[in-house]
Amino acid sequence: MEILKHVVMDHFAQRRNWLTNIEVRVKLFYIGIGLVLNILSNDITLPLLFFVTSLILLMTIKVSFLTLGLRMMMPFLFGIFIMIIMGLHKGETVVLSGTLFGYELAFKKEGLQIGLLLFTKVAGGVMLMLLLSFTTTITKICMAARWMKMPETLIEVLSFVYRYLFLLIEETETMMSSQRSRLGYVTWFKTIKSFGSLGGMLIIRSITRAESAHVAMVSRGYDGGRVLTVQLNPLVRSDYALFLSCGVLLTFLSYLGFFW
Amino acid sequence: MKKILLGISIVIALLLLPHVAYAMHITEGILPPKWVIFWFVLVIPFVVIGTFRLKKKKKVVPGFLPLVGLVGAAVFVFSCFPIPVIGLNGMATAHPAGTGMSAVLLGPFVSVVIAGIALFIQALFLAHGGLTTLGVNIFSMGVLGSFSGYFAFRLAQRMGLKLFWCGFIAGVVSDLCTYMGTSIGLGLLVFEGDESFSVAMMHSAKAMLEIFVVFMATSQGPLCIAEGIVVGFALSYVYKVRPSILYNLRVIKEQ
Repeated sequence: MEILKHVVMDHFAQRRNWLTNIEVRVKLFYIGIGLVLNILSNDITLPLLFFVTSLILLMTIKVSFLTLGLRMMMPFLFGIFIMIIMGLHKGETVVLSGTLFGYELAFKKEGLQIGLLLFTKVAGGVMLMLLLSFTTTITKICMAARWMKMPETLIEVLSFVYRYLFLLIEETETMMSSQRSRLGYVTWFKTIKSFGSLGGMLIIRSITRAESAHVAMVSRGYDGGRVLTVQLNPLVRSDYALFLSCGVLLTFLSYLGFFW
Repeated sequence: MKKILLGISIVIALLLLPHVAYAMHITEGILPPKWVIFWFVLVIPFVVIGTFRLKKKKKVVPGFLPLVGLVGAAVFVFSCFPIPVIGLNGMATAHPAGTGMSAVLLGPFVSVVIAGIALFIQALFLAHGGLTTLGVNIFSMGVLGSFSGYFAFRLAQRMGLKLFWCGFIAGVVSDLCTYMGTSIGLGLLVFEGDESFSVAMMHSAKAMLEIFVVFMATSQGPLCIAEGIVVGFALSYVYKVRPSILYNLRVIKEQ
């Protein structure tokens, strides 16, 4: 269950620093624009710019290279995989060829170039997402989603899932260590069987807990309305200044020829 | 030259193996804008119908929303189980998709919503998947995974199979379809507009097949079977301990 520990990276967003203090709607606006420009870019400069800028910003709030490296590992591997797929399927100029298990393989220059562009887009895009998740709590994202008139039901389910995720992770880890002490993971079949009963137990616990959560909510005045009652503060002058600076930045980048 | 290619392939395979299960989520930045729009347009109706069903059920059964949230969280945790991949001698673990299970418990449309939320959390907090690739990931894991798992379960029930085997088939089929969806999403990347449609489709189909074979040949083939067994055992366990849960969720009919 090691991977679950990574879920608890919300604690970075809970800290108070200059990036977490920025209004959530401003952050979402910047990240959103960044992600769109990232997938629209035709050369590697802009994705690399996003990657480096986000990295520097995260460094300023003391996020370690190791933490970032762990998050970036899987996307990077995926990027390499895509580079190979593109190298094999796109373009004409063969740079490397051979057979593997009787299968003809030929890497083409143009395909590898497209693959490299996609790789940098992965790096830039993922780093932008990490910039958001390391500096914004899910509660704030939910509040911003409501401000953007996203369906209330979706926001409520998201809040519930996130609220109870940590609780269920803890319970699962306790159950797993009990199973382990009773030799529940010594063979492959025993492992699968243990996971099966663990999965079953998780369903039972979640449903029992849902019933008691609902009773508790009703006793606290819940009548099927909003779960999230906190509202975002109105935007202030500094937030508008940040919105405006985005426009100035885009014009500047456009002048430098980043987009066409 | 052959040795170089073989070497590259082995290194990549070794790099990919320990975490390959998360390859089911297409990562941020991979899709060009036209495919981003295409996949979002494709999945929006499913998400809208799922949300409406949730809203409607919430009015009739007030405790339904906490139930969906908690079952969603449970399925999220379930999808993080590190299942050892048989044949690799414990070298690698893979993670189930979990959508088969949620579709059986909550129905396919609600399961699409749950998958969408799980993918959103994973994209932001685990850097698995992405925001611009949310559409294609919801398609493969949410739509294909949920609907195939649900209908496989119902078909197995109609054939009179025991609950374990119904769960097994749902788990296997939903996992297979999820990977098929990811392969389609990635294979379409090599689709080129300047080629004739049939040639471009041939290229894409070849790429899809190759990607699917790479997924299946590494750890996902055995994982499908493992996920099926785990889902089967999990449903049997619930039936043994608290059958009323399965009756209330209309997974099985009360005898």
